[in-house]
Amino acid sequence: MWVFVAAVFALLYVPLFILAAFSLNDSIIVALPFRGFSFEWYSAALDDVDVREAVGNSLLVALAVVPLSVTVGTLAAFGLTRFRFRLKSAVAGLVGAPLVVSWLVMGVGALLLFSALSIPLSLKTIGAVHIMASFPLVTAIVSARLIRFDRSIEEAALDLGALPRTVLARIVLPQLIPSLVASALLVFAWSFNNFTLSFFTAGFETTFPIWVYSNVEHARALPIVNAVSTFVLGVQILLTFLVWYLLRLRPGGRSAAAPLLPGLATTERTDG
Amino acid sequence: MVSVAEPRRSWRRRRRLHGHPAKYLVLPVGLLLVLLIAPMTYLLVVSLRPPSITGISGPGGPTLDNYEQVLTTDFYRQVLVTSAFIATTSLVITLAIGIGLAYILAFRADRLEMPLLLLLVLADQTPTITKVYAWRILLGRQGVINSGLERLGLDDPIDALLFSRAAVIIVLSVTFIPFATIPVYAAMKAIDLSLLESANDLGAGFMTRLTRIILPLAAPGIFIAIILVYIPLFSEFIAPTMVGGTGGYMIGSAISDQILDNGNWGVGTALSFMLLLLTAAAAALSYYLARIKQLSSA
Repeated sequence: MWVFVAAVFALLYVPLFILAAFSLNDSIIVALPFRGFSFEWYSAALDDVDVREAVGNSLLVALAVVPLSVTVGTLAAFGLTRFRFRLKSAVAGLVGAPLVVSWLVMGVGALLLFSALSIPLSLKTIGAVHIMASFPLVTAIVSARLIRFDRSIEEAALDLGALPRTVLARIVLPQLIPSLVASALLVFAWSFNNFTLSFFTAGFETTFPIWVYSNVEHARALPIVNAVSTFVLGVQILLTFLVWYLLRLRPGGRSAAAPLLPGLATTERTDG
Repeated sequence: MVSVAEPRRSWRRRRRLHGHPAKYLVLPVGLLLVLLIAPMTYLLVVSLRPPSITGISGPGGPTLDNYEQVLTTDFYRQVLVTSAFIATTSLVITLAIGIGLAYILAFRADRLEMPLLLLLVLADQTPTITKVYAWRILLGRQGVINSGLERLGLDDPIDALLFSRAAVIIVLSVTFIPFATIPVYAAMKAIDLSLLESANDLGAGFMTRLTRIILPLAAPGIFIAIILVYIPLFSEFIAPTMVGGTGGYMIGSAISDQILDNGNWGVGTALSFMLLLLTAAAAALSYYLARIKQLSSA
């Protein structure tokens, strides 16, 4: 049984370790044997204008997408968990749709729409599509919290004369903060990593995944690809640990993080 | 599931407290109508119009020409067959591994449960492009596996590793493991342990417990895993382009090449709409099956 577990995790992680090892290899050829340690590819990556632009663009898009996506997603979560209305299941289905529809099809559709409306492709078009496709993740995470929320506390505050906005600021928001921070970190990584949607809506812009994609055929660029990829990987792992840590610190501690973790991961997708 | 209807008063009060639901839903719904529903509708319209070399679509009335081209040309038929083969094989492999891993995590891992789950989520959170690229380093002609074999005295490198159907299946089956595992794990975790204990006390063996209790109760999770894995597998185009070569050419690669490189919107949109239909069918079927399983196990 443990041989099976070890084999599965080896399949998942060994390629990434080898990538990291090659990023430190003192050779322009990405092949065995290792020729000694060197940080030259990291400094070459830092000096590379294209790398700086691609990583900078990804950061810029992700930083713009996070606050908007979290806001829209939280609004949807409130609308869907706190009211009863006709068409509610239709609205819920619509909000869930981006989690199921293939990114490729969404990307083609968005490209089609932008070209029909003669909207030039730019970082803004990438951002708009990222917000549309990522806010349902936020809705899923925040709804999970809102559903378990004890509403009698709010009603008690209201009966005691608190204004609705006081209830929101003093009772609802503090309880939601771990979910909001977790969603923000998740959407950041999601947007930074997304290849498929960006690829179709980028025009002449590059982002980090697009840069990797367009450089894999250039043998001379590969050591730099290794270095940048390893660096990004490291940052992503730290971010994921941060999400984990934040959810553990909540009242309820470890056990509170457990049910949310699968929730986080099932809303993630790997097709790009 | 038993749910007691809340008194109406409470809902009315909630409206007074929070205002009308439209206040919250206008923005999300508007965004989806403009950037999801409108493009999908337009996609269907373009796929039903005559193709054009210069623009998105040519003059003339609605036609099924684009679909006919996809379904009758040998090239596209081959692409559809390859995609179905790769997606289905990868689904079966990744699901078999995922169900096994989910079982171990849910019932056998004890103190290792949380660390292993975290490792699984970490693997899921890394950029897809990086994972596929890392596999390329391993599988290449001069890649780590081939040069390792050479060192062991086998100086005849395996040519077929990179740029083949097998390479795409290996890479996809591995990268989708976290995806297939986590929903099944969540469903298994919800199983009441006393059921398993009493089955054990009554003399049911491991296989009986697995096939009569665990798998039926985990079925909704398995169906979620199937939707989450099968739809992206069908529309995958990073792995086919980066490690697939001609043998691993899939629908996703065809859509991307036709639209971005050849400006052939007709075929590109027809293929995209077929993917969308497949998605809807898979989602509806899984939803239906998951509901039946839930009802019959309740």
